[in-house]
Amino acid sequence: MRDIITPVASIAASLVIVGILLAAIGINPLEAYAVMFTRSFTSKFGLAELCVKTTPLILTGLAVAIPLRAGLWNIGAEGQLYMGAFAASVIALYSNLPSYAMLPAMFLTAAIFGMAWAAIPAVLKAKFDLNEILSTLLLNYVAIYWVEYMVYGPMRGKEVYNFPYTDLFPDAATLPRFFGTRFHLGFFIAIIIAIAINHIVNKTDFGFSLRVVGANPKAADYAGISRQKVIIYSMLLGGMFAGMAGMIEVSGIQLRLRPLISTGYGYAGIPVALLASGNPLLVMASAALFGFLYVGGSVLQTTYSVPVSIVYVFQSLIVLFIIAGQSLRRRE
Amino acid sequence: MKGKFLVLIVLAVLAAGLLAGCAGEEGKQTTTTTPTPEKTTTAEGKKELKAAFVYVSPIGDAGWTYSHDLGRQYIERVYGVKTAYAENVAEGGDDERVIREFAEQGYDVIFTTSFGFMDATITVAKDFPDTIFEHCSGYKTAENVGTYFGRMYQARYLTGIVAGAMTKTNKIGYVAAVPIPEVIRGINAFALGVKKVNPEAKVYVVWTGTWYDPAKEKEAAISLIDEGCDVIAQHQDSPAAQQAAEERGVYSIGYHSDMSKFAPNAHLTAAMWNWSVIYSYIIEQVMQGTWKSEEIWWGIDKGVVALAPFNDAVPEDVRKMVEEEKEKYLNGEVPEQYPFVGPIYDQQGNLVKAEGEVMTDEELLSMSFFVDNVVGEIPAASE
Repeated sequence: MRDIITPVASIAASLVIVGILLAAIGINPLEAYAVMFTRSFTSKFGLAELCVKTTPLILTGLAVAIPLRAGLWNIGAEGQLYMGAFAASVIALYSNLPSYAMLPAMFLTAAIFGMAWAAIPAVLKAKFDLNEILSTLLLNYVAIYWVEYMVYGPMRGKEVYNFPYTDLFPDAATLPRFFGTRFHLGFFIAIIIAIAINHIVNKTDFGFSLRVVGANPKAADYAGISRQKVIIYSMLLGGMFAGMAGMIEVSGIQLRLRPLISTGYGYAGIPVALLASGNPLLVMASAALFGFLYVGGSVLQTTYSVPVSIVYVFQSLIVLFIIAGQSLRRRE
Repeated sequence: MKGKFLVLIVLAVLAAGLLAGCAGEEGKQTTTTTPTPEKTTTAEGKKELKAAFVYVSPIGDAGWTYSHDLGRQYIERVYGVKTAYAENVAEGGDDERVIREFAEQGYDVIFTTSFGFMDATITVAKDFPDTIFEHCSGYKTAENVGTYFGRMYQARYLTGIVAGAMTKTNKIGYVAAVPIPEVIRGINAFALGVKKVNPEAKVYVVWTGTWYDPAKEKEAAISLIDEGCDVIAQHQDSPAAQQAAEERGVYSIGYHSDMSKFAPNAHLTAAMWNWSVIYSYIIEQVMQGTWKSEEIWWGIDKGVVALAPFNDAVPEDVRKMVEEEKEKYLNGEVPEQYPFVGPIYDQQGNLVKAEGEVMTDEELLSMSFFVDNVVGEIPAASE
């Protein structure tokens, strides 16, 4: 229950603050919230866009939430996402697989590359106790620059006027879209994964050992749980989810590889996971909330022409309140 | 647990009061904007025209989006068009939603001002056949989608003449953003201008890899100055390279807008955008009901690109030389593609265009080589 009350209170408090801020720049906050809400929830396209934004956030939220259960901070979801997107793009553009095998193969390689990228900090942590916050964070830059190098060089498309893009993926390598919107199959995949991982975390031995290591590493040792194993497995799972997010983003939305494929989904996964207290089912809800913040943020811009900095202040204040609320709760 | 919530709420209220106090002064000056989802009509019953702008970066105070926003303000002021904008819209991810938002809100014309918005513009345009879309710098059009761009390389070429004439060390620095054709074309045109007046001089290119990173741009400029460059040109969104030149006492050439206020002594001139020319033309067409999808690529003769006023340090004979070259565009003595007229050699000394041959627009738009007096590499493009 407290998992729900605290975030709701945090969100309510932040809405009050942001409302005052909006009023200060001459915008009626109630009206602004109403516009954000109706444009996101009452139109087909608004709802579709909400799901489009929520999809990668569910996966990056899980990418942070699962290691967090074992007390590990995966700041590297962004980089894992890029590696997944890169791997999926290579399959999409160069494999010439038959169409029935294309999407599964992209999915699999993206998962493996995401995992491999997370394996580096995982092993460094397990074997040498190297701080995973630093190693995961720094590897993000390597992954982002790697993708940049590929699209400026070997993977640059033939029909892109020498812009740093790959060519568009063949149809077989794009996720099916529905209702004439950008709403795509990836949304359901993310939901299924969240439900499945929830089962694993709550109902299996592995899930139990995750929680024990997270709650009390010493106790885990006494209980005969291998901390190293838990560290590595939880990070691998995290990397896998982020890699899948990368595949879904290029194959469902971008339809090609380019620099800057993510608008910070990997980093946004951190507050998504925190708000959900690491609970995979709640991750879906908090991802939807963050999706709403993205969509609502651009509604604010298109409706009122507010400077984008105001939108960022709005979004960051909400994140700040969420984190403050969580830490107050934890100190009880 | 209840106590903690109380703390949270009290904190919230305190912070709210603080914010309100700080923002109060500003708040009084700003006017309330209300959303107008339907097309509005003016007192005379004539339909008020509404135009929306989708920007790839924040407006800022000197760069690409700033120059477009000056155009937006111009059509608002001169034609009474009601305008709206969205800044810092991510290409490929958020663009389609933002463009659709504007279309659904009933804007009559939607300008999308970055190459990466091309596919999203085309996609949304299909669903809104009665809305006019104008995409800057792309090559895809439709019945209700036109494109527009400016031949900035013409102004670049003229600034190259200034730089080539003013350098003493025969080393000219160029702080460049990202190796896409537009940037490469600008460097080459500039270098051809340098070559025109000073065949000995070379243009040294440093890439920052970003469009807007003042610290990096300044660092790049300083590294070029340390190498002996005494004129610094740039293709960046901030005036940091100009400021570096000012501090080190060398000359500089601005870009996007007149940057002389950032570097009054160093700034010789700038290659400037004047988008209001194109925006005015499009808005007039729409108002008269004569708009049709066009591929606009105008140059210095129409005033879309221009030079900023010269610094006093630029001597009369150099000004005259620039004027003479500019005149060639105005009276049609040279093709629009000038200075990309052969002989043009690449860095390896291969003849790219033979004497008298003119590069096609297609070749200009996908340019991926440096001319022979440029020093530096195009990253990862060495195929």
